[in-house]
Amino acid sequence: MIVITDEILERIARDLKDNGIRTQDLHDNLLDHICCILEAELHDLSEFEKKYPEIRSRFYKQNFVELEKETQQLLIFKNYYAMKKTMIISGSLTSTFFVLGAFLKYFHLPGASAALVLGIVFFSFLFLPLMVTLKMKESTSNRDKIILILGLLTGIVASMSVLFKLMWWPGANIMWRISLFSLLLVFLPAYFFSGFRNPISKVNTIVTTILLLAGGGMLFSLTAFTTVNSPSVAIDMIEENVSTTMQAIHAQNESISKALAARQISMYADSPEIQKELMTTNAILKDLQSFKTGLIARVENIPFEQADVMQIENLTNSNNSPLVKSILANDQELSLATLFEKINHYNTNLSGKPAIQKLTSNEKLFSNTQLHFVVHSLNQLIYQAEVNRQALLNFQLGTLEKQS
Amino acid sequence: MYLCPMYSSELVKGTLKTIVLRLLTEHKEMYGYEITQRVKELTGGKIQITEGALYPSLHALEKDGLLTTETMNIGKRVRKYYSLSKEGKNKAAEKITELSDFLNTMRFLLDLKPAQG
Repeated sequence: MIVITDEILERIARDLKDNGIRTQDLHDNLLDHICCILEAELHDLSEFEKKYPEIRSRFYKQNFVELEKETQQLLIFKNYYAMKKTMIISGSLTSTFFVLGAFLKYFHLPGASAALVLGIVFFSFLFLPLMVTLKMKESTSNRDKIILILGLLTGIVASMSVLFKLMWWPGANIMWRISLFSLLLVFLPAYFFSGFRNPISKVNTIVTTILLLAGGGMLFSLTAFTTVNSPSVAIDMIEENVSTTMQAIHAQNESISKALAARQISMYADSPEIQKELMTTNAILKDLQSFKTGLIARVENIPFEQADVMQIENLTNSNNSPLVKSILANDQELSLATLFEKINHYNTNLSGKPAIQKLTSNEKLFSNTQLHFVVHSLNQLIYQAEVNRQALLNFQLGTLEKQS
Repeated sequence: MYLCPMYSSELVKGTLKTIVLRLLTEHKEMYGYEITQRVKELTGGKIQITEGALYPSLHALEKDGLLTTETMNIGKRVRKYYSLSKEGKNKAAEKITELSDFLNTMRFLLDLKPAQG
């Protein structure tokens, strides 16, 4: 038996590599196999040049690369079915969770967010990547593969932005804009021009492009026209209106008070009923104000004096739900129960004049434990009290006018 | 991808994995060239497995966990020995039973037809 020299070994190894054998295992196997044949069939090393072309041709029809392809095919094919199965299961789970989440959300039942989040996670991290991977395996051109990856990224960013929006996490809007931008200006043109050139896929491409363009365009216009992007921003905007009006009323009240004081009328000289009501209104205003300031100081962890002048749009810990919740539930001074006890006490002691309204607030408003919402609800109460105060001051003013 | 001097490739297509599994139940471990030689020897040259068909199948069987491998260095080249895993042993028995059952059915089917005709 002849012994294969290192030189021949290297030559065969190079031949295999040059002809597309990339899998190391397959390369080692083939190299050993060819050497075994050579050892069995060659009587002398000088026969190598003559015999080698014939021996190597036994391995393929056209070229060695067929073996590499077939090996890959067999390996991929095995995964292909598992991946397809997982894709179908994850797709079914996505649909189930979306339908369930939408149902729960529509009827305000618990678990809606959890179902929707699971739906989005299954969709963007299992279904979409698997679908794109399988499609990529089926496609041969690099251009198609790039388009598929673009579509995958757009899809993931779009669904993530929905997830972020649902969970009120920051960054949802920018992601949504990026995904729409990528869909309309990057993915769609690439998809269209690639499919349009192929006569087989031409009609299908046109129809799909129109559908995507129409859908994406409508979503884009909705997004473009929407100025309020999050509940916090919406509250800030409403709050701005309320506080402007409140400040105006407060300023008016102060000037009426000053006017009354300038006339040096004893506060008790007029209708004692109005005087009493004015005092209780002032007291509840003070209570509400200090409750608000106390809450802001605690949640924002700032001194009381600083919290007193803080505007709602400057709150930083607006998502600090657990803290707000625990303060409102358990704190001795800042509990919701104490607050509503004071409000009820004020309401029951009102004289019943039509201009003086009871302070109304729904306790449920305080169950939304974002600081923004709670402060906003408190401001609404303060606003109502200021209006009452103004009415009472006007009564007093009217009484004075009559007297004079 | 079979080289079958006597049989058309359609006839033996799909049996390669069973042949490999069967051979490995008898021999503790074998390498590629050895498998092709053994098949040739056992069938008197009627069935010759081409190298092109053998290695992709061996890789697939290994990936499926039916075969375990051990490598040995022969000078500068690497020889890969294949043997049955525990799962492979069960699968081999299953595959052999399946093929043998199929062959019996074929025999019955083919014997029956001329009798009926």
